[in-house]
Formats: sequence, C-alpha cells, structure tokens
Amino acid sequence: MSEVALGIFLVVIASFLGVPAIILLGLVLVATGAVQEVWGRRGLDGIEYRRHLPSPHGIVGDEIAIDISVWNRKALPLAWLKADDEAAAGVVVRERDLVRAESGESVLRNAWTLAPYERVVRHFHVLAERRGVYRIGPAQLAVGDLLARPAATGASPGIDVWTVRPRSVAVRAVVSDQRWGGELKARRGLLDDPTRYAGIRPYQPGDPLRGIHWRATARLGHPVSKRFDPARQREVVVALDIETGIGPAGADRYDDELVESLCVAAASLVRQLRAEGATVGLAAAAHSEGTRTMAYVAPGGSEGQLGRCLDLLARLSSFPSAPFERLLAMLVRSVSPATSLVVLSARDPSPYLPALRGIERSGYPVWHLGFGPAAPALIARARAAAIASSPAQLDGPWRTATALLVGP
Amino acid sequence: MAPDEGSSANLPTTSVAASGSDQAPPIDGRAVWSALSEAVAQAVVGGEEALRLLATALLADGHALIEDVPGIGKTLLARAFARALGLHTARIQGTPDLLPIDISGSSLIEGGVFRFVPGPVFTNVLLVDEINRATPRTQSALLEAMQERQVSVEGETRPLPEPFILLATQNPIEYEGTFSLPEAQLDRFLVRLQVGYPDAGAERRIARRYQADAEPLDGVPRVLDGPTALALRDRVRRIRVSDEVESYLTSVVRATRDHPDIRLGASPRASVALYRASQAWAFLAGRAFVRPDDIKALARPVLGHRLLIDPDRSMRGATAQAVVESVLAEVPAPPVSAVQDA
Amino acid sequence: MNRRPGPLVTAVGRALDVLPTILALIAEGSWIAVVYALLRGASHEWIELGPVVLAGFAGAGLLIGRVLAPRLGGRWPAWAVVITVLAAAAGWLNAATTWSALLSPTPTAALGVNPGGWITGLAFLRGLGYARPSSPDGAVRSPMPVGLPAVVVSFLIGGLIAEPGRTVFRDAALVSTIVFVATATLALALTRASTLGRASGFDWRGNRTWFGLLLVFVTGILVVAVPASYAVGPAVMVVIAALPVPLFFLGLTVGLDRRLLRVLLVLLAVVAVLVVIVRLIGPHPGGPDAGGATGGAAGPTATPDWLTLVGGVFVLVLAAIAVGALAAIWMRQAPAPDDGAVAEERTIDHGVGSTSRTPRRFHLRLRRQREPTDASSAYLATLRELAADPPLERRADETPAEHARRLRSSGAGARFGAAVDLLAADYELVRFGASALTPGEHRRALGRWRRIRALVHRRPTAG
Repeated sequence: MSEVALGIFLVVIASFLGVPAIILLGLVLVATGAVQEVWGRRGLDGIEYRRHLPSPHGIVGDEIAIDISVWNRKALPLAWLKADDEAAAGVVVRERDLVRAESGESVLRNAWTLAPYERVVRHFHVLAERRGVYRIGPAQLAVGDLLARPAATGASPGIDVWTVRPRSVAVRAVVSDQRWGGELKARRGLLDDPTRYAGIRPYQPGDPLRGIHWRATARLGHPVSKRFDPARQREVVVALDIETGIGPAGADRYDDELVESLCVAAASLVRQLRAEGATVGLAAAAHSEGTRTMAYVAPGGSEGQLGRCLDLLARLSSFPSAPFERLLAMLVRSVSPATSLVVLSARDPSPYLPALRGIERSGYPVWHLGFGPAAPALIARARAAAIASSPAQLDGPWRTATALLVGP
Repeated sequence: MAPDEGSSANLPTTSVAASGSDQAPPIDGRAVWSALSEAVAQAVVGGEEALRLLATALLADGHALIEDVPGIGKTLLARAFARALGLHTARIQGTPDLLPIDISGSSLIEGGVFRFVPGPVFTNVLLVDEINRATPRTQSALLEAMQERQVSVEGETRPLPEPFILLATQNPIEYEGTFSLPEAQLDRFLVRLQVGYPDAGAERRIARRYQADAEPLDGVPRVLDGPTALALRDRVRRIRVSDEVESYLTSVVRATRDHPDIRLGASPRASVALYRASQAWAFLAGRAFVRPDDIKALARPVLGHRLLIDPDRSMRGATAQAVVESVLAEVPAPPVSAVQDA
Repeated sequence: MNRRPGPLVTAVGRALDVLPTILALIAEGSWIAVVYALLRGASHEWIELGPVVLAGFAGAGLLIGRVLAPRLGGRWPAWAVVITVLAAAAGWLNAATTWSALLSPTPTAALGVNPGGWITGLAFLRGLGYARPSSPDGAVRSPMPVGLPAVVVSFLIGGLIAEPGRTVFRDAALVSTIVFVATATLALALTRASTLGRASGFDWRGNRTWFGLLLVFVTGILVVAVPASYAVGPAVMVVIAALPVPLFFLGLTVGLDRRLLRVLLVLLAVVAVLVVIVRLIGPHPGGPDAGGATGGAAGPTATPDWLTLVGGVFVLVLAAIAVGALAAIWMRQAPAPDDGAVAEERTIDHGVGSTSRTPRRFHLRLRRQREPTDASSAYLATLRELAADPPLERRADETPAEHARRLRSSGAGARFGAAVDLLAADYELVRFGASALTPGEHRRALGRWRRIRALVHRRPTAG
C-alpha cells in the first residue's frame, strides 16, 4: 500500500475513532507520500548528466582525464542524485574504486546533493594500465526526494570510448647496416620509382603507353619512353606473430607478459620506421574488431599512420585468431611488390619458415626478429633456413622498458 | 585546358579602376562577395564558408588547399570559383608520373630553334586536383610558382601572370600511393579548408540539380576579371588593422609556439598570412577594418596546417585543430583588461 | 583552495554530523514514550517518564554499545542482555509505587507494580541498535518502521482505557507523537543523506536549499497538521457519510455503469467496516469510559491541552530554526566538501539568463567610478557593470561581438543583449576602425549604458 493510501486510511479510521493523534500521523504520511510523488515525477526533469573525455587516446601508463558534470536545471533541490556509470572490464579510476551494481555490472558510482540550478563538475582520471579499447557508460541515474528516499530512476545513454595504445620505446639497433625502411636489397622484383625520373630511352615494344614521353617523342621524331631509377624506398610491413607458444592457434591461452612485450616491441618498430620516413604497415593474425580474423593496417606514410598502427595494437587480441602462415600468405597478396617484411615473433619459427622462404623468393625482403628469452634459439633456426634473423629484446619489463635492443 | 576569357559582369568596375589613388571611392566588399557567391551557387550547393575562404585566398594574394573526403564537391567548387573569377584557368590532375616539366613547360625545336611552350602553370587560376598524388619532385616544382610567382625553366626565369592563385585539392583519408605534402609546401598555402557534407536540404537540391542534362558549371557567370581582381587586392591591403587587433593576432600565432602539444609552431609567415587573410575577410564582410572575430574565424584555416604536433602528443590524440582551439580559448581577445582600460 | 575552518565552525560541523543520530534517538524515545503512556494510563498511574528521559536511555544504549561492544567481542551479546535488564530495572525502580511495594511486607508484589517502567529497557535496546555501524548497502536505521505502527496501535488500544487513564494517556502521548513525527522525519532524511553521502562522496551540509526546504516541510507539517488533525475528523466523516447518497442519485441520473457501481459498493463496505470497528474498540456510552467520554463515533473525543500542544510545537519550531541557524553558520564558513581526492567545482548556473548574488557594496563601489563620456568608454563601463555578474561577464577569450551574441541568446541577458551589441559595434568602429562617431551616436551609446546599468542593478539575484 502506498504511503498516501495508508495515510488516508489512517485519517478515515481515526476520524471515526476520534483520535487526532492518528489523524496527525495519517496527514504526515499523506504529506510525505505527496512529496515522494512530486520528486518522483519531477526529480529527473532538467537533469543534465555529461561525461567529457578531452582526449580519446592514451598510452599505457598515462592518466586519462575524464570530467563528469551534472546540472540540476530546475527549481527543485535534490537531496541526492546517484549516477552509476557502467564501466568496461579493466577500467581503473584513480580517485575512486568501482563498485558492483545490483545488475552485477562494475560501475563508477557518483552521488551529489544538488541545490536548484546547481552544476557540479568532478574531475577524474582513468588509469591506462593495459592496452585496449575501454568504454564507460551508459549511466543509470537515481534521485532522492525531500526526505532523501529514492524517488525516481532514469538513464543517460551516452557512452564514452577511449583507446589505450601500447608503449613505444626507442629502438637501439646493434646491427651494422640499417636493414629496415626499404634498405634491404631485393633479389628481384625491383620496380621503377616514378618519383625518380632519370631521363628518356628509346621506346621498346612492350613499354606501356603511359610511359611514353610524348613531348620528347615529338621533339626527337622517334618514340621515346621515360626512364626511372629503381625504387629505393620501399614499403615495410611489420608482421606480428602474436602466438606465444601456449596452445594452438585459436586457443585463448597465452603468455600475457610476453604478448604485451611483443606489442610494445611492435609499436616501437613501427614508430622507429615512421621516424625514418618509411611507409609502414602492420599485420597480425589476431582479432582486432568485429569478426575479422586478420588485423591489418596497409602501409602508409601519412601523418596518422602511426596512430592507426598503434590503435590496431591496442585492439589486438592476446591470442591468435588464425595460423601465422595464413597471415603471411594474405600479406603477399595485399602488399606491393618488393615490400620489406619484418616478422616479429617470440616462438619457434619452424612452422612458418617455409612460407617465409617462399615470400623471400617472390621478391619480398624478409627479416625475422626473434623476440623474448628464447631469441637465440629462434634466430638460429631462422638463419638455418637462410632467413635473415636478429634477436630483439626489451631492456626491461614491458611496463618500464626504455629501449628495444635489436642485436646483430 | 581552355582559357576562360571574359569580363566582369556584375561588379562596379569603374569604381575599382580608380582605386589606385589614396582617395579611391569605397568598394563594397559585400557586393563582391554577394556577386561571387551567387555566381558559384549556380553550380555548387552550400559550401559558403569554403567559398569565402577561397575568395579570401584570392584577395590576400595566397593559395588554397581544399582537403576533404571524396565526393564532397571539392573539384566542382574550385572549378566553379575559377569560372566565376573569369580569369584564365588551367587544371592539372595529380598523378605519380606527372613531371615538373609537365607543369612548367619545356622547349621544343621548331625550325632549328628552341621555342618555349609554357606549361599550365602560366595561368591565373591553377587548379591542381589530388595534389598529393603527384610526386614530391613535382610538388616542389610548384613551390617556386606559389611563393615567387615565377618559374625557372632551363635556366631562365619566367614570371607568372597576375593574378595567380593555386587551388589544390587532396583527399585526406586515402594514403596508399600518395605523397604527403612537405611542411614547406603546406606553409605556402594561405588557407586549408574543408567543404564538409551538405545538410539534408542541400543534398536534396544537389540530387535534383543533377537530374537536369545541363552541365552545372555552364550556368556560372563571370563576375570578375584580372584588373578588377588586382584592384580589389590593392583595396584589401589598405584595410585597417588596429594595434589592438595586431597584438591579438601576433599573440595567437606566438601562443602556438609555446603550446605543449606542438613540436613546431606557426612561423612568421603564418603571421603574415593571418594578417592578410583577415584583411580580405573583413573586406568581404563590407568592413574597412579587421575585428578580432576575423582573426578567430581564420585562425583554424590559416594556422591549422602549419603546426607540427609533437609525436608523443600525437600518439595521445592531440591534433592541430585542437591546438588552435585551445590557443583561441587561452589568448585574451581585445579589449584586454577592459575594466582597467577606461 | 580550502580555508581552515575556525573552532566554532568545527564544533558546529561536528554537531551537525551527529544531528541525525540525536534526532533518531529522540524519535525512538518519543514513540516509546507513547507506549509507556499507554501502559501507565491503563494502570491509571501518572506519567513519570517523558520522551527526553527515554531518549536518554536510548542514547545510553548507543554510547555503551559503541564503547563496550568492540572491547568485549564475543562476550558482548550476553553483556548486552544483562545491561538491558539493568536499564529496564532502573526504569521500573523510577516510581514511588515500586519502592513502596518493595518496602511493603510482600516485596514480590512489587513485580506487578509499574509495568511501564520496564519500557526503559526497550529504549536502551533500541539505542544499542544504533551502535552498530551503518549497513554497507546504504540501508539506514530509522525509528519510523517500528515507531509508526507502535504509536498507531497504542492510540487504538488507548481508546479502550477507562477514564481518567485514557485522558492521561492521550494528553501525554499527543506531545510525544508530535515530537516523534518531527524528529523521525528529519532523522530519516538526514540519516539517508549522510549514509549515501559517506558512501558516494557528498556532504548534505553543502545543500542549504534542500536542508532549508526540509526544515520548512517538517515545521509546516507541525503547524498545519496538528490543528488540522482536530478539524479533519468531522469533515471526513461528513464526506464519507454523505457521499453514497449523491453518488447513488448521480448513478440513477447518468446510469449506473460498472465503475460507479464498484465505487459505491467499496464506499459502503468501508463504512460498514468502520462502523464495526468503532463498535468493537471505539469509545461508547456505558463502556469503560462512561464517566468521561464525549461523543462517540460522531467526532473526536479528546479535548486537546492546547497550551501544551502550542508550546510543544513552538519548541520544535524553535529547535528547527536553531538547527537551521547552525547549519547556515557551518555552510557559510566551512571549507568546500572534500570528496576524497576528487577535484570538484560547484556553481549555480541558471543557464540562459543565469543570475547570481552580487555583493551590494561592489555595485556601490563601481558607481563611484568615473562615468563614461563617449561611446567607447560607455562600452568599457558596460563591461565593468556586467563583470559583477559572472554569467554576464565578458570572458577573456570572447570578442565584443561574441560576448554580445551570447547575451542576446541568453534569457535574462537577452533584455540588454541588443544594447550591448550596439555598444560593441560602436566600440569596434572607434577603436578598431578609427572611425569618428557623431555626437548623437555618442549620446545614444551613453543612453544604452545607463539602461544596461539600471537593468543590471534591478535584476533579481539568486544564490
């Protein structure tokens, strides 16, 4: 029975019995019930609840600022307003522990007491402890009435998403020659670089019409073709082997520390390659978004390319989605001829060494980087298969490492 | 590549012609803008802000880079603008095999003597479509033309016709097979602008317009000519920039250099560009002086492409546009400390 | 930056901290006092314990529980029983009749004397309940769920007591009931707000509007509901008695549909049930109260002791005002609430047409400044006027035109937004464009400044 009904019942009974004290109690119940009704109907009116994420990106170890503001845009004061922001697994807020809501979800709980037209902004910081894509929201709102009893509930549907990219560290190459960035010599498959115009030469049957230098042809009276120097700058794709040797491909068992270290190493390589001006891409046989089994960012040299690669690493599942050989086969079909392939792997390369050899024979320079504690054994196997291989190692745990050491 | 010859149709050119003297009769910049926007509207639906920036670039003696996703009408806008100017126009399609001599021209032997055949750069309005598909070498060939208004071919320097404006387009999301414009060249564009998606009403009008057989550009009248454009530039140079506004302008530019997200802030050339662009902007608004609002309106298109974001900050999501926004939010606008001022 | 609060503010803050618990204890004492009055009235004895004494027992229970429970550990339940029995015995002994019975030749008969005295044990037990830490799920202890039924049942049973016990009971219980209503309502609200605030990071003491409205609500209930409780009874009876007949005729006129018929039947059933109840437990001639009963089912029978009643309500209103004053002192001088490490900004923002309180003396000081003489200085003077009101103030990064546009699109600012716009345009012409304005334009600009100044000073303020 509602409070108002109970109050009316008491008033009626007490009126018959002639007991003013019970009438008083009944009237009080009617009044408090009415108060609850008013706040129940109007409590959430004019409530403006917002989250503000100044930057949707962060690096592991960062603190990402997030502001939560609430505005009571009406003349009714609120004893309290509670907001439960649904938080994805892994979200850590520096200022406040997440709590378990009635629904079982992990939530960031906030409550305010709000005067009429009062606006409150709280500044929180989300700790970016692990790479990934995180979200917060939607929020469940509840308000209290004048007597601070729960009066109304509602929802604020907005969701905020941020990406925590892996750390990238300086790459210290101990090798004598600069092997990446398109500097590897290809055995064959060299292409003309249209940016490196070298002059003209007599037309030969089979030359594309597009290659004919029409002005010079007109001037000289016989057909001539444009001549270009071979391409010196090539595209580089970092192929990350996410498998850490525990269980077969597709199994979700993995060495967490090793996977994170691999991601830091891959991020560092991509960053270094971009800094050297290379056109760089990234690929991994892992889930990144949706149902796609291959994660791939095509080589590019634009300003945002590094961000795209890091975002891919942020989203990358920690376990493989398909055999690494299948990724290598896909890459051969996708990348331009003579693209350099840097394979970063922390496991025995034997299963995919035949594929690497085939790729190299097709004109794609391949460089294998054996990563992790077993690197010497890994590179020995790769070298035995005539694949250029070097050890790569972080100079500390992935959270604190300052350099990626690439050995000879 | 046919020259678009014609004379201005809608402008009071007689008054402009007399603008060389100090006592030149006032030219209503709003009339210029109105005529130009009406002319371009015959072919382009919406995009008023972008068109105003193009007109600003023309009047401030600069060049414009139109950057937006495919299918948004970049090229159509640039072509309609060029046609409305009634100036000699040439168009180049950026491709990887486009060579510098394809732009500047070369000499042919005719009757035993070399005859210089000028390239498309010898024009008033040069429209370079998909500039980032051209090779860096070709892009560099445009540098001299953009900055010096001249081209050196086979050891000989040849001046470009006046006025000269380069309108380039590029697609920001396609990266494969493209060559990003180097910072030095980006700096030479007075403004970088986006056209943006049309609203629902405009999109309906666009669809309806293409039901007709007629080529939309055919309906664009010519509202300017070379001498008029030069006279307008001369008038724009005399738009007043007060000390207060000048100080605000330099504060905004300098603040970009101190911003924590920036590795390379806006150069002094950016200050000059912002100064001249704001004069042109004020002129088009029918004013004889620059307001702080003009600086604010132009800060994004003039400064945005000249800033180099720190890689670490970039990895954390910092963007040049956000830096400009934050600078505008931090630099006090005139009148500064108004309470003590009086 | 937080101020360091003074000793007075610290003391007031602590008092407000414990206020919900004190109110809850008084409410506990009050409803127990009603039950006590019933027991005493039934045995035709005078009332010796009031709400304050019983609240004291509850408070003692709270204190002893808080002090001893952690120290005694597993032995505490047994000790709690012993101490509760001692507390009950203290109440039983607090009556002359008990002592005289104890000193009589048959002291065992004393056990049947002063049964109401044992109620102090109940008060002590209720107090012990408050010694437990608050529930982690935010549920709060409140006197309401137990106290309200107890009071209602006490009054229903009290109607059966023969006079003069019934009058004794009702006179004593009415004041306790009023105290219970006031303190239990306040305690419920404040305890809930405190509990949730502790768990989720806010301090109810920072919301003076809510607290003020709560006090107004509680005192309003007392001021309105107490007299109304004497007037409502007859009115309700008249309405209920009179309603079936018009409804019946209304039904005959418009046709008795199923819904109206149902209402009519329910009403008749209610009347029938009430008549039965009244016949069973209500006062009736020839009953135990034949000597003093006035009326029966026709209306309220108790004659209120108006002096006590008015005095009680007056004291409660004074108490509410005192609490409000204490809260106001704390709110004015206390530091900003510190919610752990969360940085927080609080503003009163009316959005469009936002207003805020501006110190009067600031306006006066501004008025003494030199008055503007031309359009340019009129604009600057206008900015000074608006600077006193944060929502209207020109932000540092705002250009004059942007500022005017914001004011035009806002609520209260819209009234003079257009004038600010024109002043800004004049200023720009003079300062940025080096244009000379006509004397008429300067005059009009000064007129606009005067109008804006008048409007700014006339605007309502809100805090």
